[in-house]
Amino acid sequence: MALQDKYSALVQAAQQAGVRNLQVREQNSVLYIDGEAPTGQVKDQLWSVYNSIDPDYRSGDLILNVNVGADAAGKRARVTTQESNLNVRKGPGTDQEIIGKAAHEDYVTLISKANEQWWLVRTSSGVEGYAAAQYLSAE
Amino acid sequence: MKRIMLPLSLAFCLFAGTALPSCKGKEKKAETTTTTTTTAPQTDQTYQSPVQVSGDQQITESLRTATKDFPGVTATANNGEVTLTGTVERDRLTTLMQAVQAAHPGKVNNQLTIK
Repeated sequence: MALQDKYSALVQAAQQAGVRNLQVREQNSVLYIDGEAPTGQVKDQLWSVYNSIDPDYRSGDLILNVNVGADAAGKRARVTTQESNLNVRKGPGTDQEIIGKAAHEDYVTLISKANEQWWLVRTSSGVEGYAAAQYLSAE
Repeated sequence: MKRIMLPLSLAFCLFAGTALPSCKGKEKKAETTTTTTTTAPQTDQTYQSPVQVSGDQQITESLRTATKDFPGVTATANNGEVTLTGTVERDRLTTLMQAVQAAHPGKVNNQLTIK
């Protein structure tokens, strides 16, 4: 139970922010928090709480897997790359052909979630393809 | 193209291995039968299902995407446990960790040097 106490502020924040299908499980001395965030902002807020409890994520005792859920389909998402443009690919994988780009800080439309790593998106120029979820922040 | 050729050739080998012997003669009969047994995981009947940790191959595939734009970072998976080594800027650490922890690992050991 010690881990649940350590991260209780995070679990509370997730509950208050309306994270759906929230699961908090402890297994082999690691706490797993899973769920679906309504927006990318909520996800970032939770990670900020995580980082304040465990600075630089050093402890290795938490797996926070709260991502924007599939029901964000249809919403807009901001391209949150460091500075470069985001590759839009033919399929969900870095080995897939690049068929377009989404500009840094531009918006794309989320069409459907392929898996935890990839979203099918439509860029502002109309190209449809797969983009890495880690660089998309759903509004 | 190479990535497609490998599964294709594997599929052909499988096909050839199973289908071709039947052309050789009628006396040769299939002597082996494949039995698949599914063993239900022994779960204690609590209200929550156990955490599903992905296999190393799947984690490694996800890590490749996660670390693609982090040339200074090496991520390895061993028995579901991910170890991160190398160097990363502090303002990009969260982006990296978000992607790594979404790969369904059992644990993440952050041994990164943070600038």
